[in-house]
Amino acid sequence: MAPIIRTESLRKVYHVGEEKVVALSNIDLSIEKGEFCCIIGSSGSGKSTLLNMLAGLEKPTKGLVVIAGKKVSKMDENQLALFRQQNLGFIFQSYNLLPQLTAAENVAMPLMFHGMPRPKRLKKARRELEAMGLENRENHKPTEMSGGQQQRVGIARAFVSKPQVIFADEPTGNLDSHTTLQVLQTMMDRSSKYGITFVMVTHERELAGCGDRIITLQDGAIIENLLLDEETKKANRAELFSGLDPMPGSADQGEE
Amino acid sequence: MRISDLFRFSTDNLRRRMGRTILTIIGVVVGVCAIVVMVSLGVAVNQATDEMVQNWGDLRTINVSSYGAQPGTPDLDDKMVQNFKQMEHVLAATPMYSADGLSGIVTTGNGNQYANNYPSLIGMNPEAIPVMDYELLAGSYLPETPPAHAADTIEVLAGATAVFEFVDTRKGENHPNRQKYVEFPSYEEAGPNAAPSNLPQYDENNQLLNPDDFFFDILNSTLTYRMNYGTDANGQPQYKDYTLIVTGVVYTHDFSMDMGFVMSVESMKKLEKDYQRLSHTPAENQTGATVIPGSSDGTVQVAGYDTVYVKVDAVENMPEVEKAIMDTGYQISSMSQAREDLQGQVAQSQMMLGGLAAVSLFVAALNIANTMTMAIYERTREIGVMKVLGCRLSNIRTLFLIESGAIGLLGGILGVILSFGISVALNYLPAILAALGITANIDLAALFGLSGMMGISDMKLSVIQPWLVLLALCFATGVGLVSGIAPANRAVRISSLEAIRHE
Ligand SMILES: Nc1ncnc2c1ncn2[C@@H]1O[C@H](COP(=O)(O)OP(=O)(O)O)[C@@H](O)[C@H]1O
Ligand SMILES: [Mg+2]
Repeated sequence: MAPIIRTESLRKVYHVGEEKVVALSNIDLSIEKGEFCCIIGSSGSGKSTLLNMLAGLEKPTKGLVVIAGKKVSKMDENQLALFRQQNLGFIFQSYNLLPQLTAAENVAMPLMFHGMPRPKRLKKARRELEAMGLENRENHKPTEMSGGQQQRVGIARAFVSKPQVIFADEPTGNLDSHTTLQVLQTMMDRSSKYGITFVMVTHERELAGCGDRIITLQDGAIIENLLLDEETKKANRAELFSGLDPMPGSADQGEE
Repeated sequence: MRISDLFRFSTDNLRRRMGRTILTIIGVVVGVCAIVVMVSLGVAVNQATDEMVQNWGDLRTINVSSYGAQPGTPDLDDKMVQNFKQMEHVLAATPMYSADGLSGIVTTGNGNQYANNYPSLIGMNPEAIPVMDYELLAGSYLPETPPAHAADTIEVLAGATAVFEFVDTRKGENHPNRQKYVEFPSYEEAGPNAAPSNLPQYDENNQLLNPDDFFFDILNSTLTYRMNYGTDANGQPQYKDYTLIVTGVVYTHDFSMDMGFVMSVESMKKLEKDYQRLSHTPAENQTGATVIPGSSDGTVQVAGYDTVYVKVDAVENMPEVEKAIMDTGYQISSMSQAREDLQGQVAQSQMMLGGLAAVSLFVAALNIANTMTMAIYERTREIGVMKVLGCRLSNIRTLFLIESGAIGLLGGILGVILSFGISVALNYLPAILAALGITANIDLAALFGLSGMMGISDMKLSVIQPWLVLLALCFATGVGLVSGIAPANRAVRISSLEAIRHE
């Protein structure tokens, strides 16, 4: 089966004044459908740059990004908007919820852009929030919620349209370690349940260990592309989530 | 996005910035109000001018003059009157002929008890008279061909108030009942165009219904025109008498015509000939043009009639006929021309005042643009997130245009409401001032450069018509939309990456 995400000799050069900064050089990678893929590396190694280019938020200096058979790196803004509506979800480090909207409205936003009628999309959003254990927070504004709750709203927003791929740049970066584990578990459960390909940037190696694939960057190049075997994954997950109660509502809800 | 979602999203955002939105709207309200009130003043003046011009007289009559003609213009004679008559859209053409030098009095009653010492006699083409909007109160119009009768008998139409021009010669100069007068209904009740309340009234048998208002029944009396053509050797005035047969009474709506008598041009010419023969005045058989002494623009007076009236079928055809006659070389005047001049003047002033008002709306537009730009700066991050989540560029543009358009529309609605308030206040201002004991005469006409205008005392200062409301709302919304274009395009250009990156 063709990989869902594929890059060909991807290169990104920033010009800062006279100076050239090579943020990424010659990235070739493939990510299979349904994989939970973690990109790790030290600060400044090019993780965000790679993620942004995969997601079409930034144009490569050279090379190609193909998602689900579409050359994302060649699309114009309007084509990208439509493509994102239908195929991509995003989770941000700083949540990026719209302050004037309630939790449910925030979650329903991608569906609104897609043109779904309001009652229908709010219903979907509420179900998604329930799955995140936020059934009591549907009508709360972001400012009325904790960081962990806000990020779970953000996750619900990424999952609500059941996209093919979800991109997340340090989604747990602003959360304490306990909440981090809760959120990570939720993201893994939800994506595996719906067969969604998940690409997450993190600088914490332990977190990456529970994914299917770890891509390690250094100075803009892939120094390791590791596909973990089932044994290792299980061991890593058991270790990581050992002290964690199962999150309320993270169990299957029998949707769709 | 759905249209309903676009609107909800935009209005939510407006509500979020309530304070700033209100301030921006106030700017629009002031601008719209200024324009609407300015225009409403102009509309009021225009209505007043129309009313005034209607008082002046008929809008479909062109007054052709022998004075002020271009050199080389043909004589204003019967042939030319025929030419006018044959023009398209012309219903009738007639000289308004009164013979030079003719003097005499009109008398009636036993021993010539009642006399009009300064009668006004006009000669017209009989067939043109019914077309001139002269309303026949009794009897009939002049016969087109005079019936056979004694030589010194003349058919005339009496003007509706001609009877009031007669005095009772048996009463002294200062006797209160020496003359009966025309009466008008009160201005408040009847307005400016009211007919006199004591015009002669006749039944279908030409019987006078209100005989007490007059010394005599002008329709059924025998009148005598006593032409005075000189003095004899003893210094006694010499007379020749004519019998005037009043065929009808006409109400011409023109007070100078109403107080006189109309006869055929032929009759007038006969009077003139008799006068010239009896008084040994040589006939002026002059043709061609004479240069008017002192005329600096090179215009001349042509021979023939002094004045010819041309009646046109519809007001909208006036310019065409007027142009045709002016092209022949004559100077003309008409009420509709005067009205156009007035309206042109008003329109000009209106443009100027409107321009002043437009400045305030322009400021409001800058205000809107500023508010929107600020909103976009504040929401850079949101806009970036929306783009990343798949919001189309056209949707983002629409969102901001709706916001700025809504500011314009709201400002327009409130501005129109406020304008109505101001308009009512303006219209009641004289009454309010009067109630406070202040007598102020608000001369709106002067504001529009029309000096000494009309005695229209109940003239409204401000008139807001539906079209003005509609125009103001469209204009305000348009201003909002236009001011929003640049900010909306800026929003569209925001890089989603930059937006979500800045933490
Ligand atoms: N917009 C930019 N302009 C200039 N240099 C940039 C820009 N974005 C990233 N870089 C540079 O590219 C390199 C990779 O950055 P980034 O992908 O953000 O690293 P990471 O996410 O791994 O911390 C860094 O050296 C950074 O300074
Ligand atoms: Mg980064």
